[in-house]
Amino acid sequence: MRSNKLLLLCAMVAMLAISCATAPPVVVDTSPKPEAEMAKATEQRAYIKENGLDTYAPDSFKTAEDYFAAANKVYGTDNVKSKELLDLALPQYEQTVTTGFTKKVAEKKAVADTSKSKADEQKAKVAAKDSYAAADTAYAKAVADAAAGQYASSVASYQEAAMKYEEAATIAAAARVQAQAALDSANASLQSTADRLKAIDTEMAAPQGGTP
Amino acid sequence: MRHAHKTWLILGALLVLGTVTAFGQNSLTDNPNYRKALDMQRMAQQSYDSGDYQKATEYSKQAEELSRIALSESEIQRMRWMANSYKNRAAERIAFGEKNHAATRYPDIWTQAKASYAVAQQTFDAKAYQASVDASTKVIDLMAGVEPEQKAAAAPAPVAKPVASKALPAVYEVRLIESARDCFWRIAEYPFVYGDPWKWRLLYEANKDKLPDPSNPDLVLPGMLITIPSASGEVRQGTWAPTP
Repeated sequence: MRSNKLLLLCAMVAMLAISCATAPPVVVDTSPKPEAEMAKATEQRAYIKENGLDTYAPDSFKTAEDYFAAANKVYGTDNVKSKELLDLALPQYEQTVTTGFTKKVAEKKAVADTSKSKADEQKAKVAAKDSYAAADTAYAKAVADAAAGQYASSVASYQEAAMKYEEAATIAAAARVQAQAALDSANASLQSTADRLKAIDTEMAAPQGGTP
Repeated sequence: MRHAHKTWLILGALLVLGTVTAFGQNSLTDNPNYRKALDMQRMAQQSYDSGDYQKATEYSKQAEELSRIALSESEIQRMRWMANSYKNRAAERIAFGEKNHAATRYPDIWTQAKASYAVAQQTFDAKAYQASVDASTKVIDLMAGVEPEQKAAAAPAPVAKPVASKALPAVYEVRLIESARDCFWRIAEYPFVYGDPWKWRLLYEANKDKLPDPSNPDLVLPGMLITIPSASGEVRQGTWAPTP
């Protein structure tokens, strides 16, 4: 009985020794993580989202996002591959920023131009000179910012210009309505006076006229 | 001959120009406030066109105010003219009454008419023109009942030429009287015409085509033969001529 127990223990020890000897080796990636690329890509993504540029350049953004997702998947386990994917994603993000801003600036400029035309129709340059001057200043800044590559600032300035032109147009339109009413009233009054003066003139030209 | 013709043409043109200018200056539309109102209206329109709506509104309001003032001034001027016109008519009726001894023939009417005439004068001087017109109208109404004296007394008043029994003349020859120039008003007042100056328009309408300027009833020339239309069915015939 005692010898049976000893035999079983020996068999178990032997089995353990055999199992340990056949376990696969643990693979550890020793190459550095592409931390800088990952940080830049993350920053670019946030910038694009923040400025809503993904809607202006959806194709390049989707390509970039696909690379980014794939890179994220192997980040830490296959850093070389992850870096390669991030290196492909970053230019697509750059492209999204450039194309997105170009389109967005053009769109905001067009809105500002429409508002300017509206203000000009109402002769707001004279009728609402403060608002119109502020709009002109913002518009000039938007143009300069765009030329200097300061797209976000250019977009904001175009938006401000559009708002100020709209404000000028509203002020001018209200003043115009008031002025038109005053003019109409004055014209009617003068016409009425002219008619009456002519009637009195005719009456007074009679040799023995006058009816009280 | 040709030179003389040219001179007359130039003189005529100058006369027309002078008349037009004088008439224009007398027009109420030359009222300074009315002219200013027109200027303001122009400025308002210019400001509006340039987009200066604030100034356009200001100028329009000023134009309207000046227009109102001009109208008010003209209405006063009209009332003054009317009051003066009525006062003159009342004065003529008073003169008619004096000439026809209304004081003795119609003492009550005369007293009232004289008193009303005094009121007409006083209220006119006080610029209460409507009151003056009312008082003058009262004089005219009162004196309407005063008949002309049949005998032409002191004045070299014209006497009807007995053309036929009691028939009145159908034609009157305009005379040159320096003290009281013949005009439709005076001619209508002659007893043998209508005895009523207010009927001057009957004469004017019947003789318009004989006047140098048919639109101007004030210009009648000595020697002109005026047709006297029947005012109320009276028989008229022949030409009246003054007693030598």
